[in-house]
Amino acid sequence: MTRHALILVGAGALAALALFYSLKGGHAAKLGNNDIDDLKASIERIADAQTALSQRLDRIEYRAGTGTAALPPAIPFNAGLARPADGNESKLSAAQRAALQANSVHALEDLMVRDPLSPQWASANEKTIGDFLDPGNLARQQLPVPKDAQTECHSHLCRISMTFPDPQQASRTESMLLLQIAPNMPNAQTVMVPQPDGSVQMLVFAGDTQAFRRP
Amino acid sequence: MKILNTAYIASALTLVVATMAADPAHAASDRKSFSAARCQSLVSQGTTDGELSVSHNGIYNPGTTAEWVICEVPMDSETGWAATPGSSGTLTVYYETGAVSGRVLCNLFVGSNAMQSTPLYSYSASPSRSDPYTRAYMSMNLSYPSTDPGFFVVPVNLECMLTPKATLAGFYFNENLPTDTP
Repeated sequence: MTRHALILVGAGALAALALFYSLKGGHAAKLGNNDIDDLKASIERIADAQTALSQRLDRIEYRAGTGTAALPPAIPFNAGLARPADGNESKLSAAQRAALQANSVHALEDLMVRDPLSPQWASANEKTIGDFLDPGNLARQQLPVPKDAQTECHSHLCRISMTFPDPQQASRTESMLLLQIAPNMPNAQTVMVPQPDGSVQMLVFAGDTQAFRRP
Repeated sequence: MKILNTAYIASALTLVVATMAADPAHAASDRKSFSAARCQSLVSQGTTDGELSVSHNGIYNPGTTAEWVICEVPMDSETGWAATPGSSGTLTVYYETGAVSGRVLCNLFVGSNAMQSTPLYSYSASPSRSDPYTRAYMSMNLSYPSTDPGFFVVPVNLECMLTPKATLAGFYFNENLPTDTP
C-alpha cells in the first residue's frame, strides 16, 4: 500500500462521514452547533491518524527496503517542537566530548588501516600533498607552515596530520589543501584535536570516491 | 439550511483532503535553487567586500587576483545525510567565465569543527579552466551521517574561489531525504 493509497482511504473515510451526516440531516431540520463541532473533531482525529499511519508506512518501507522513503526520521517528528538540530552533543561534558572525538578518530584510523596499500597511488598523492606543504608554496599562498606535518597514503585514502597555533590558521590551510587535492581526492573528513599547549592538531582523512563508501 | 450544511461539510472535506495530499510535513525530498546573494566575501582568505561585485546575475570578481566567498547552504532535511557521499544529497554550482579563461573552485563543508567533536565532512571540486565567456557547472556530493551522541544535523557552508573575471551565478540543491519543507 502506498502513501497515495492511504490518502485515498482517508478521503474515503471522510466521504463516508459526510454521507452519514447528510443522511442524518435528512431526518433533522438542521445540524446543530454540537453536530458541527463533533464533525470538526472527527475530521481532526482522522487527519491525525492518517499522518501517523503515513509515518509508520515510511518506517516499514525503509526496513523492508522498498518504497520511496530513502531514510526514516531518526526521531519522531513533532511539529510542535523545534527540529532536532541540537542532537545530544551539547549535553555532554568536556570529558565525554573528548571520548566522542577519540572514537571518531579511531574509526577513521581503522578505515585507514583497512585501506590496502597501492604504492603507485600512494606515492603520487603523497607527492601532491608534499608539494602543497612545501614551505615555498605555503609562503606564496601566504599560509603558515604547520608543525609536525605527516602524510600517509594507501590506495583510496590519505591521512594528513598538521599542528597549528590556532584553529583559524588550520582552517585557512585546510581550505587551500582540499582544493589542491580535489581532482584525486574530493572527499574528506577533518577533526581538530586541541593540544595541551593551546595549539590544535588538524587531522584530515581525504579520499577518492571509494574511500568513504559503506559496504 | 441543509444545502448550507452540506456545502460546509464539502468545503471542510476538500480542505482536509487537499492538506493530506500536499502532506507538507513529510515531503519525500526537497529541491530548491538559491542565488549567490546568500554568499559573502571570505575575509579569512583575504577577500574584502570591495573586491567583489554583486548583482542579480551573481557575484563577479572584477579584479586580477583570485577571490573567495562563503555561502550558506539552506539544509531542510530532518536527519543527517548518509555517510556515502552523494547518496542523499547533491549541490550543483553554476558559474560563468568572463573576458579571460577561468574557473570557480569550491569546498562544501558539512558541519563545523568549532561546534562538533565528530568529523567535519567536505567535498571539493576543482574543475579545469574554461574558455572566456563560458557557462559551466559542477556537481558536489554531500555526506554526513547522523550520530548519537552527536549532532543530528549541522550547518552547511560552501567556500568558493573565483578566478579573475569569473561570476558565481547560483545553485541548485537536491536533498533526497524527508523534509518538513515542501
